[in-house]
Amino acid sequence: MRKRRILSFNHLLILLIVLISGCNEEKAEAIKVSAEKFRIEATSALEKINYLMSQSVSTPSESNQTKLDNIVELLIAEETINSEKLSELIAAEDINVGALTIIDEGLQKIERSYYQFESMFRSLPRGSYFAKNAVAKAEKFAINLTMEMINFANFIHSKYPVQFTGRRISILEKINAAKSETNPELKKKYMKLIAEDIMLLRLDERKAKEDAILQCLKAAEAGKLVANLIRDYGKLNANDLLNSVSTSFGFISEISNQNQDVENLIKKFDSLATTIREDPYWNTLLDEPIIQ
Amino acid sequence: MDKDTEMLKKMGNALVDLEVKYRSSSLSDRVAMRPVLQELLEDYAAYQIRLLKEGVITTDEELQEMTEIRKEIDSAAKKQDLLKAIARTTAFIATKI
Repeated sequence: MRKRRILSFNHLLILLIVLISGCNEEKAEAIKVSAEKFRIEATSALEKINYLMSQSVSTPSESNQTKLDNIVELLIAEETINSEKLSELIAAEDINVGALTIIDEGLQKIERSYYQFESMFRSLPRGSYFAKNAVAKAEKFAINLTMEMINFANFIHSKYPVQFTGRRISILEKINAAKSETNPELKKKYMKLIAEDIMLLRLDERKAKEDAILQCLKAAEAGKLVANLIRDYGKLNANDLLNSVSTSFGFISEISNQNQDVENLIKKFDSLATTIREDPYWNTLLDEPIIQ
Repeated sequence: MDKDTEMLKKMGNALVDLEVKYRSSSLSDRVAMRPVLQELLEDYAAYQIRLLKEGVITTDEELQEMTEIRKEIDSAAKKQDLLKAIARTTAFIATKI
């Protein structure tokens, strides 16, 4: 009888803890999913930045036939060929490999922080009851990484001159060739085609810049959500937290909308950055000043 | 215009002009120009990364700190898993007594 009572008491106690941890589990799941979303959006933003930077050191894309013709011309024009010149012909396309590696490695290092951040919460739903303190410690990283994404958006928006180098080189080469055309009709025709190339390049460069800014802001919104969820982890119930997730995810989808006004969004997130900087609570978690 | 933006623009324009010249040069000239062009490409890439990194807040030490927090949460999960297993076992035994 005594044994049964002891077992029942233990049973109730542990069941209670398990039930409480069950309630926390939903909240923990909300944080885990939001941290995953933050990593996905942030790595996508870094991919778009990588695209901008890689384009800045790109070489013109040419068909195999054009490459072949170029080699033939160079071989005919050159009186003697030595091993150095042969290496130049073989490695002509690799001229930007070093620059591309610098870009890849630089961005991969930044990317690691976001993977590391996401990985913190991987087993949170299973440890929701005992991990409260650890979750609280993670808050400052959510804030700092959010600020990083706002900084990147501001950098691209106000400092970074987008330049698709390979395509600019091609256009200049076409202009130089067209300039030497003696037939005025043909010259005009070539220039018209070049003008079309220039307008298309202008559009593509502008779009790539806007895409990168919008993606950084999407990531910043996802980061802000994680920071809010962590801050309210102990205060709000699972439903409230899930509502925050749903609202924020909805806003992130809206940012993807092609018609988004980049200037207005930048202003909105600048004001978020100011709020974080001036908020006595957030401010203490912030490591560095914000770039504006 | 911001100094960094101006520098990036100048480097970008120099790169385009140099590459146009390189591509229209003879093979001998290309061999001579290649190291300069490669260096400019790498400097241009490194400068862009350096400017972007001015916006980076997270330090290497903090990456380590995140690893520690992950371990803490993982160990909380193990503890909770164990507790759940005990609860299940206790419930099972209670029904048998």
